[in-house]
Amino acid sequence: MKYKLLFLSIFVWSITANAQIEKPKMIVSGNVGMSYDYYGLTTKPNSPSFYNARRPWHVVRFNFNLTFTYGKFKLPININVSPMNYNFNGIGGYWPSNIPRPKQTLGQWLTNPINNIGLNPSYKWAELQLGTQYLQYSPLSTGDLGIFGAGFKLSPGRFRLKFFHGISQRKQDAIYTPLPGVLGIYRRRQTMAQIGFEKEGVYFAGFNIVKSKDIENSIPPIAAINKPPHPDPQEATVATFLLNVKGKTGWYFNTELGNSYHSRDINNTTAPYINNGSFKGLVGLLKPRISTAEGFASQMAIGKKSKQFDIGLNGRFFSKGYYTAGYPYLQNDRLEYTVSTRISSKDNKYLFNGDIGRRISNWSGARNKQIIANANVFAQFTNQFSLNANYNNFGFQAPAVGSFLGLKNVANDLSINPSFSWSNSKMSNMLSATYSWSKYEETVLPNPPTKNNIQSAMLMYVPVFFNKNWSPDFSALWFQNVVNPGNIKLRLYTGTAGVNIPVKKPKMSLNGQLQYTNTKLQAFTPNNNWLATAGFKWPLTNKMTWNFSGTLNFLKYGNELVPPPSLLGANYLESHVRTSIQYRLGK
Amino acid sequence: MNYTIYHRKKIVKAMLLLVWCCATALVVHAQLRVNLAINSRLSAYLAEWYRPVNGTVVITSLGMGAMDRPVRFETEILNSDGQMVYQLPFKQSLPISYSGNAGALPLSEILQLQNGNFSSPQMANSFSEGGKLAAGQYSIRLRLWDGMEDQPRTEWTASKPFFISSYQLPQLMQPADGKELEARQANSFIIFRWTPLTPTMQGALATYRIQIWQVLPDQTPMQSLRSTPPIEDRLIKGTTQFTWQPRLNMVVAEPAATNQFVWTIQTLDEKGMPVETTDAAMQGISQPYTFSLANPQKIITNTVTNMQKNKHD
Repeated sequence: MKYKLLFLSIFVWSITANAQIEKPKMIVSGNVGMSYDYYGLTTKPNSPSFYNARRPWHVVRFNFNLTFTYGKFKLPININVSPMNYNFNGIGGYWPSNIPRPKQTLGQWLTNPINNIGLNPSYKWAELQLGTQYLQYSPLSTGDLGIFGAGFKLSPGRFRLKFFHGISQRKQDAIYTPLPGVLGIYRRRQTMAQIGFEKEGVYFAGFNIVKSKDIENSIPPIAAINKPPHPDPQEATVATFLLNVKGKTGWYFNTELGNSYHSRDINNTTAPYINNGSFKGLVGLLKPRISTAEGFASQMAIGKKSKQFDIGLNGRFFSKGYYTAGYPYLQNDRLEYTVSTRISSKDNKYLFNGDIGRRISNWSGARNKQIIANANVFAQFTNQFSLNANYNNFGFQAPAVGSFLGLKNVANDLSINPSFSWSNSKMSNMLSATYSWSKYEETVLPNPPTKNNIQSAMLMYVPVFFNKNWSPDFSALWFQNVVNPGNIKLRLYTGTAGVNIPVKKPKMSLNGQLQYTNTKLQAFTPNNNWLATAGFKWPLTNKMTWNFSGTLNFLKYGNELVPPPSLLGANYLESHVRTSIQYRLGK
Repeated sequence: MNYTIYHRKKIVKAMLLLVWCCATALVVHAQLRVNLAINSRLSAYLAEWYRPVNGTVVITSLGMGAMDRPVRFETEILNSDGQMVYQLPFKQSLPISYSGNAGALPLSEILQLQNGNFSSPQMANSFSEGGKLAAGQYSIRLRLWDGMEDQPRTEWTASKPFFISSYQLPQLMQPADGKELEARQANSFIIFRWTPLTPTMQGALATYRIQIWQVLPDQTPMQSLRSTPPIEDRLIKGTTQFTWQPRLNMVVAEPAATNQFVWTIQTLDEKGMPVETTDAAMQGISQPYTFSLANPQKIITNTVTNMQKNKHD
């Protein structure tokens, strides 16, 4: 309530302080629409199961992305919702098929990540942020998650102040049976603030602070025997300092320093408080417990950009205790640095992009080392002939620890893509070829390496008839992967034909594609796959567009799935229809 | 006669005294036995040691009758070089009471992280640097002290060795984060690679669960990851490469999906349980990457336009 009053008073104050007598006009812009996805799957035989549905059967989504402008007052409304009881278990979209989905309450529906309901009314330099907001404060503080709540953003002159408070994680009661069950997830609240100074395009300097805390009693208690996999309620605080500077001559310097505290368990019994002075600094924001870890992180980028030449140095370090709930999947305990460059000729016909870097993970321990290198060259020799070449390398090495003798993985990828075009009075032709070669060796010492050798070649031909509107395209692809020891071979042949037909009455564009793939694994008889897609984009009026696409995917297996004998010649048919109607508002 | 009676009385008194002394000695100084049961797969996070799955300490009274006298612990954890990693001096230990002839306690009771000392400056307390033991071989031993007097109640237990597998989750490698792939080739195959779990699990292969999501319009990749089912969900044992044959409509412009994808790896141990991560709620999921498909129709359209332009020139 305190926060709400604070937002309201700041907002009202900013409006009244800047009110001017004008004759504003209400302008509405944006688009509204809906989309529908249908998915169907037929398998033969039905049993035993050999292919699972990979989409929900039906998905309906509505979108209202509107902006009302009245003078200097703006009201962007961003609503993207699905009325379906969509699966969500707090972490990913995975929900076991053998467990019925509980009905959502209104609160759960609002905080379900599939739904976005956000309002951002603003007047001059004051903006209210209401509903679900995806706010990226900085790379080390928060930015990955949508938070349902309220906050504001003030930017008078060069001063910047942001604040937001809300729910970043929906609760989910633990389900233990039938297996595999569903993880118990606590409702998580996140509060975040940024204060700083900015001159747009020149500099920004500021501090971020993000605090997140699970509400322990938001779900029924989970017995100790069920942990893990069921997690404990957690708490985290992170504070960072951010500095971005950009010079007129193309030089830039960005850095951020972060300090985090994270309690893996905030249960008073299993993780009591500690008062031995181990923690200093942010103790006012987080009461340290025996499950609390402190971490540090920093990142830095320095470089120069110009028309023909770029160079940059990037580095990042995360200590093993660094954790921020705003980037929950961030991998800590690593150091990485990269040097990147771009060089182009004055006419942009010759271009080189490259980077080389190193990543050291498990920094606090035995230190796994990685080398990552990428290079890309593009050359437009003539108007008819161009060449693109790409090379990537990464090597990974983990040293011996205890009885583990270490491992080493090395990957090398090379790809060459020449394109040639020619024409006569009736038509033009474009021929593009791509050859890729890849070698990947995985070695877990003392065993010999497993070698993956991949080669692929693709040829694409696009004829253009000058007296016809429709334009076809054709491509053929060969792919082979050989794994040794074992000489395990996987080989694909793919042929594709596509067409694009603009239609005058009704004015619309039609697209279609047919793809055939023959897959052979080892000595098994090949699998045959047909993929047919058709669709259109039909502007019904100047402001309304109807999009449609339908795809059929039929795969007939050889004897790869045998035994059991009933799966000889097993096949499935997937059908997928997607349609949407969008109405554009404004000019 | 009197002499005999006098002596008999004395003997009886002496015997009674002896019985009383013996009984008292048995009750007060009953011999205790400590049994340390350590799981071979201990959590690297010391704060997790309260969970019974990590191990237990069983204290058994060998004397007669129930024991209600509290005890204190002196605990030492040493690394493979014999250097002290953690120590709980008995004077800093909180007295623990138990009832009955035997008591089973979680390992957190003998660690008492809030009272013990870490010898290394990097681990001045369990809480700095992640509160996590580095991977390696360790041993733990324990001695019981009286809860009220500075008297040891047991000898040191035999050192119990244990191995900490402080796993590093895989790092996604290919397709690189934000990479744009040519759609026509990508619809036939996409190669996914990631670094392995390190160190490898003893006597078992890690299982990698690759999950790939198609990002919906007006959604961030992370939003799709958290709210929609993956379009591919596959378990891969041991190896760190996966060839995906998407078989999707990637050519005709999708009205209800983008050409952006987000993918990640969840690492599972030999029991199919997620490997322990900093945020236990993240369930062994590696930092996700995104990739997108360059629409060849767009490339073709551009080519056609250029050709027509060249012709007119």
